Order: sequence, then C-alpha cells, then structure tokens
Amino acid sequence: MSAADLLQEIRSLLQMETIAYTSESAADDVYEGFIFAQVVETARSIPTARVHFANGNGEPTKDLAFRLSPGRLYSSNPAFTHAVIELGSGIPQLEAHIGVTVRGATEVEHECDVLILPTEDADRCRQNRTSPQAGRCLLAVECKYYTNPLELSLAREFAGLKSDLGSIRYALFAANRGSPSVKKFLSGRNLHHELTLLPNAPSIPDLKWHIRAAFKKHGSKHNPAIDL
Amino acid sequence: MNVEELTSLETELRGLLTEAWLQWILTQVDAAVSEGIPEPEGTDPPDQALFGLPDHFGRARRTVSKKATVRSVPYTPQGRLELLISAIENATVELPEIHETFFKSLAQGSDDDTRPAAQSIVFLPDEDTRPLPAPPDLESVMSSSARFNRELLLEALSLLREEARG
Repeated sequence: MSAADLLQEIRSLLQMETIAYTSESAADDVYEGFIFAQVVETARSIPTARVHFANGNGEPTKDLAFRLSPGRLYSSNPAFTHAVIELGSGIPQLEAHIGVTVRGATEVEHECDVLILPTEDADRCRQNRTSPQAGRCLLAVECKYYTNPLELSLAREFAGLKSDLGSIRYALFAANRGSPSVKKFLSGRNLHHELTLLPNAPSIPDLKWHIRAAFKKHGSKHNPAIDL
Repeated sequence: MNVEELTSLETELRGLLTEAWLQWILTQVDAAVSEGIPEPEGTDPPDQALFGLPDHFGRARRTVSKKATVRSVPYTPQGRLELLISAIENATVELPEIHETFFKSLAQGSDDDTRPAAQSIVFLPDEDTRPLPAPPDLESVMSSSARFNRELLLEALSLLREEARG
C-alpha cells in the first residue's frame, strides 16, 4: 500500500469518528473522571469506609452528572454529582468533586480538577454561595491528559497553582504521560506527582497511595484509633 | 523518504485531522514540537522510551534555553511526523480505555449496597459557562464496529510510519 493509499484509508476512518473525542475538553473530562474514580476506589478499599453519590441538594443518586467545564460547587443546578465519603466513626464526612473552583491564598479562584473537602465546608459553601478556601481542602488533583510528552510549562503552572493554594493539605499533579523534565522539575520542588497514569498502569497503586495519605491525615486528626 | 516527502506527508496528515475536527491533537503536537525533546541538564540524553518514541529519532542542533534549567533537542522532520502519528495512536487507544475504566469503576456496586453503583453517567454544561463539546457516548465508543475501525486506523498508522522510515 502506498502512502497515498494509507492516507486515504486514514481519512475514511477519521471521517467515521473513529476518534470520537473532538475536543481537548472532552478528553480532559474523561481523564478527570478516571482520576475521580481512583479516589472513589481508594475510599471503597478502606474497610471502615462507606461511599455513595449525591447531587447538589445532598440527595443520594445513582444517575451521575458531571460538568463539561469547570464550575462552582454552589451551582444553582443541583444535578451535579459528588461522592460522599465516610471514612469511619468520629471522622468528619468528606466529599469528592470534579471540576470545581477553590479560593487560593490571594482570594483568586482556581479550578481543581478533582477536589476532596469536608462536607461541613462544602455545605457552608452551598449556603453562602462561595467557593471553598483551599486551606480547608484535603486534596486537590491537577489532571493532565496529553497525547504527547508533557510540556515543562505544565509543571511550572502546577507549581504556581500550588503556591497560591498555599495551605491546602495535599496537592497532586497527575498525568497520563511521562517526561524527564517535568519529573525533575516537580521532584526538585518536592511537589507531589504521579505520571504515566493510565488504566492498569503500574503507577496506579502509587496514585492511590497519595489519595490514601490524604485520607490518613484527615482520619488521624479526628480519630487516631481508626487505622486507615 | 527525504525531508520534502516527510514534510508533505506530515502536512497531509495534519489536514486529515483538521477535516475530522481533531485540531486539539495538532495543538498538543505543535506545543510539544515547539518545546523540543527536553533533556535535563547534567544528565545523559533522555531515554526515548519515556516519550513513547523510537530510538532512531534524528537529533538536530542542540539548544540551551537561558531561562530554563532544561535543555531541548529540536525534532527533525522524521521526528515531527512520528510524534504526530504517535499522538493519533495514543488518542485512538487510550481515550476509550480511560473512558471505559472511569464508567466501569463507578458502576461497580456490592450486594449489601455499601458500594452503590452508578446507573448512568452524563456530562452537562454548568451555569455561566461556555458550552463545550461533550465526550462521546461510551456505548458507541465501545461498539464492535468502533473497535474494529480503531484497529484498522492503528494498522494504517503503523504502515504509514514504516513507509516514512523507508
């Protein structure tokens, strides 16, 4: 087959929507959902924990709705779903969200691809129609889906984000690809990161270790007797 | 293939992506090309396997950025074309797998209902935000015809890579 024939075949296949993700945001949406699912799986693996899904009114639901673009936790549309995580007795309940804004140290709002925070704080945000303070949040994950090696600028942006999130208890950079320069940059600044995160990748347990570390910090503060 | 042929092939392949509303892949490829192959300072040349790129990628003039602490090696025409082919392959293979894992993971429940399963998952626009294209329906992505077409596309891309390598 000549290059011209191959190009013709590729044209026909692409026209049939063989790659059906027609925007970067659509690819990001499923990648953020994949990382969110790792949070849910990690919580579910803790023997004392219970997890369910709820909408913006706090009603349990099995029909999940996620945002197409970053929004606010206090959205007037109650359809958007979050995971409700109860780690164990005496430990304040948590919520995990996809694509919501938080307020940083400078009061500037930043998008967090995946965010875990106490339900008490989330309730306050819904009542007062404000975004949560980063310092009140347990974990923020910056998710990056890239078809190519990661650009160093993404790591630099994450360092800036982490700086403004200031007192957030745990911030993590999670990406589907690797890059020596990104790894070197983030490692050199002691910024938590996990790269090459894809389904069944060897790095998935490492991601779950970070998530569990965030849960442990929260649990040991409120009920050290429970071993998370 | 000579440089002219490689560049022409790259241009044609880019055109196909544009026709198929996949410019976002080109944007990511262009960003990677403009950054070059990063090479941490004080280390040996990077292991190409980390980039998912073959070893025979040609290396051109080495540049050192005064601002960054990381050196970069520009992509050759052969390297650019292979980067583009790899990007299409990655989007073809990875996104359906990520999508399926995401949905299946949340749909897993337990008999005692301590792990309630999601019955459906949708993406919706939020208030005050610009509507963006939604991810495709998982059922259509995982249909046998879609899987078959992905296999054909991967095969064609693999043959194109071989053709480019001469």
